[in-house]
Amino acid sequence: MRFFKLSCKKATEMVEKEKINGLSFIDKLRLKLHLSVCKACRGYEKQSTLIDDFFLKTSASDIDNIKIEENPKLKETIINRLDNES
Amino acid sequence: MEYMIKNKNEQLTNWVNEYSDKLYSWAFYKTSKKEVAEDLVQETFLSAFKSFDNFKFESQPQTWLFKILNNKIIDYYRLLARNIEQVTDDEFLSKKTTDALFNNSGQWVSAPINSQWEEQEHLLDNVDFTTVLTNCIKKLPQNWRIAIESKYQEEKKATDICKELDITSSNYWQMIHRAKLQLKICIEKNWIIK
Repeated sequence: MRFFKLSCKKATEMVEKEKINGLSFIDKLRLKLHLSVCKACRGYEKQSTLIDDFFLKTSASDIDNIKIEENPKLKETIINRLDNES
Repeated sequence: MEYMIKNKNEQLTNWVNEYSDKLYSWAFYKTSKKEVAEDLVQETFLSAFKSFDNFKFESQPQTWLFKILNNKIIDYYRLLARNIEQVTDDEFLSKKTTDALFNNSGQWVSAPINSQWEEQEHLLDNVDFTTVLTNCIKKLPQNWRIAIESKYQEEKKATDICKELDITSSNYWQMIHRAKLQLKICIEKNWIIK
């Protein structure tokens, strides 16, 4: 049973590992067990998902919603470079 | 042939005039660095020039150019992620802060009163909260910010991205873990549950 025990630090680390790499069957069990008895880590898991959702939402925020900054110098540089390419 | 080349140049020049500001603004939004954004947009047009023949005129030039640019942005993040192992000063400090959340046996040290912010509903629609979170993200050590932001660059699954990043994956999720702990600390400091 000691083998099954996880510290909170390890458990929250495994929450992230699971999202990215997935976990082995045994580790999945260990994490589930830990989360079932640890309120603080359950809270972490929810917070982690919330942060993920925030990033997903903002990175999907479309191109049409950003502030357009003009960069005439860049325009000129690119046009000159393209002329040299041909 | 002469005519074709001229045509191609003209076409691209038109595109530069029409889309470069938009592309630049997007690249800047994604990288927060002026020089990087400029380089990426330049490279985008050079790639567009080279693969001009692949462009199908029934598709939107803007869509095509943004596709090229987004790939360049991903490559940029990938390159940065490879050099991530170096520990910077701000990273060192943040490591100390996040370590302090746990005691020696890895259990949470006492939780602050407002540690349960996730219990509130519709947090992501709450402008006050998203402002706090956005500021907290800005304050992350740069490496961590790159790690966490590159995770969402593509619509792909995290597992695929991690494979592509090919930095030892354990380093990668440990970094994400730390970044999220740091965000937790920052939110709990700055977000007052009403």
